[in-house]
Amino acid sequence: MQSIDIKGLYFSYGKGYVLSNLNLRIQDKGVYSLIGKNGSGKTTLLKILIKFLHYEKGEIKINGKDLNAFTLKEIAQTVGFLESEIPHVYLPVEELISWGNFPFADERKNVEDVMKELNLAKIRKKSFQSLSTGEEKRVLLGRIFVQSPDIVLIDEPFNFLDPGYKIEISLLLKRLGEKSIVFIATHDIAAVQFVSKKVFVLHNGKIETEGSPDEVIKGKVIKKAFDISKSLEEKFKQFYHIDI
Amino acid sequence: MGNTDNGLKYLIFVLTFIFIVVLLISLSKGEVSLPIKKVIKTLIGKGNTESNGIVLKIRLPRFLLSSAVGGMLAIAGLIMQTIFRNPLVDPYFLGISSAAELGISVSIMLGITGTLLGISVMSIIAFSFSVLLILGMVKIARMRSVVASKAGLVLIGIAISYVLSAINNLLVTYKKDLFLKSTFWALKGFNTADISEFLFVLPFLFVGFIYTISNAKRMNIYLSSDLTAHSLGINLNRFVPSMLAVSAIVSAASVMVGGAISFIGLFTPHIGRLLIGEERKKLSIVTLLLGITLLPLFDFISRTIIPSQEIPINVITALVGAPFFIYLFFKNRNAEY
Repeated sequence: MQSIDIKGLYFSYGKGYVLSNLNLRIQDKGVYSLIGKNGSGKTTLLKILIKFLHYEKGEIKINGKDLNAFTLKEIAQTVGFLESEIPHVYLPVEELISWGNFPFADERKNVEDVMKELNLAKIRKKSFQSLSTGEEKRVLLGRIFVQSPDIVLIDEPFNFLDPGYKIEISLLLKRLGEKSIVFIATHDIAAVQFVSKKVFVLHNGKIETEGSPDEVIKGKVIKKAFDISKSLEEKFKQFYHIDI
Repeated sequence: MGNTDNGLKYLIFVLTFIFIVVLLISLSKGEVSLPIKKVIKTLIGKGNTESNGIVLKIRLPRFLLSSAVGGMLAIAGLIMQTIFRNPLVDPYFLGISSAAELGISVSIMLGITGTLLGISVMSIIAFSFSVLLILGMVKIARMRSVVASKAGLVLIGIAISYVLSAINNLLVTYKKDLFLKSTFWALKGFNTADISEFLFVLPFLFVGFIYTISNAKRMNIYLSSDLTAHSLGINLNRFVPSMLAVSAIVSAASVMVGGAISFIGLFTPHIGRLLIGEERKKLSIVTLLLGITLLPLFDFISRTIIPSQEIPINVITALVGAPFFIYLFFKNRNAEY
C-alpha cells in the first residue's frame, strides 16, 4: 500500500528553517495538492522526498520504509518526479518517454502502448524542443505513465498552460491518481479545486491546514496561506470569485 | 536530418566510405606519389621494397595515429560538451593541454630524454601532469556544491589552466631555449608518428568510445537537468566525475602523442549533431567516424598543400575550425542552445 508519512521535519538552506516541524500523511491513492505562496518551501519539500536535498531532523517514510534506507535507484522505482522547469532538450519525444523504464532492470511498461494510450504516437519522432508547452507537459507525463511509480511528485504541473491544456493535464493527473499517490505543488487554485482529493496548505514551514478542496479553498485559509493583504482582499474576490 | 535507424545506417555507410577514400589518398599522395592500385597491393602484402617503406613504414603509422587522435578528441569533446550541456566547450577546456605543456617544459628543464616502450619519456611526463590535474578536478567535482553548479567547475578549471600557463611562462622566461622546444612540441603533429604510439593510444580510444556508448542513455537523461537525472536514479556525484575523468584521460593521451590539436574536439561532435541529432548513442558513433576521418584528412592537407613543406596541423585545424566556431556563435544566438 502506497503512503507518504512525514513527522517533525526540519530543513534549512543555511540560515533559518524553510521547513520546521512539518507533519504530513498520505495513506491512499489519489491526487493531493500542496499549496502555499512563492518561497513557502513546496519545491524544497518535493526535492527532499527524492533525496535531492537532505533534511536535518525528523522522519520520512515512503510506503512505510524510512527514506534514508532507499538507494537512489529504489527511490526512482518508487517515486516519479517532474520538476517545474521544462527541460531544453533536442531529443525525440519517444526517447524522453522511454526514460520511465530507466530505473528498472526490465521494461516497466511498453513505450509504444503508453504513446498510443496518451495519443503521443503521432509526435514520437519530433524533437521535444519543437513542441508547444502543453504537448511538452503531456510528453513528460507520458514518461511518468511508463515509470508507473507508487508515488508521483509534480512541481507546478499547470505552469504556462492555456485553460484547455490545464483541464487535459488535470484529467491525466486524475488518471495517474487511480493507481498512485499523486502529490502536486501548485498555486493554481482553480485546478486544485478540480483535481484534488485533499489539499495541504504550507505556511511558515509547516502544514497549517489540510482538508478537502471545499474546506480549504475559502475565506481565511486562503487569505492566510497566500498572505493576502487587506488592501488586496476586494481584488482577490473579483479575481477568483472566492469569498475571503 | 534522419532520426531513424535507417538514417544512422546510411550515415555510417557514407562516413565509412569517406574514411576509406581518405585512407587511400593519404597513403598514395605525398613527396612520392604512388598509384592507389599499388597502395592497395602494398596493404595486402604484395608491395615492393619502395612501396613497403613509404606506405607501411611512414604513411600508414601516420594515418593511423592521426586517425586515433582524431577519434579520441572527438569522443572526449562529446563527453565534455555533455558534462557542461554546452556545445562550445572542447576537450582542453579544463586545462589538460596546459598541464601537458608544463610537463614538457619541466622535463626539458630537467634534461629528461629517452623512450619507454617506444614512447618518449617526455610525453609520458606530460601525460602524468595531465592525469594529476584530472585527479584534482575529479576531487573538486565530487564536492557536492560543485556538481550542482557546473559554473563553479568551469571557473576552477579556467583558473587552474591560467596558473599552469603562468608557471610554464615563468619557466620559459627563466630558460630561453625552452620556448622553442616546448612550442615545437605543442605543434608536434604527426610527422614523427610511430606505430608504437598508435598501439599505445588505441586502448584509450576504445575505452572512451565504449564508455560513451554504454552510458548513452544516462547522458541523454543528464542532458535534461541535474534534478531529472537524479530523480531517475542517476548518482550525479559519481556520474559527473566519471565523465570528467574519461574525457580528460582520453584527451591527455591524445595530447601526449599528437600535441595540443585545436578545434577537432569542438566541431566534430557538432557536425555529428547536425547530421544525426542529440541522441548520445547515435551521436557518439557518428562523432567517432567524423573524428577518425577528419583529422587524417587535415593532416594530409598539412603535408601536401605546400610541396615539400609541412604546415603545422594546428594551422589547418584552426583555419577550418575558427570560422566554424564563429558560425556556431551566431547560430547559437538564434536559439538552439
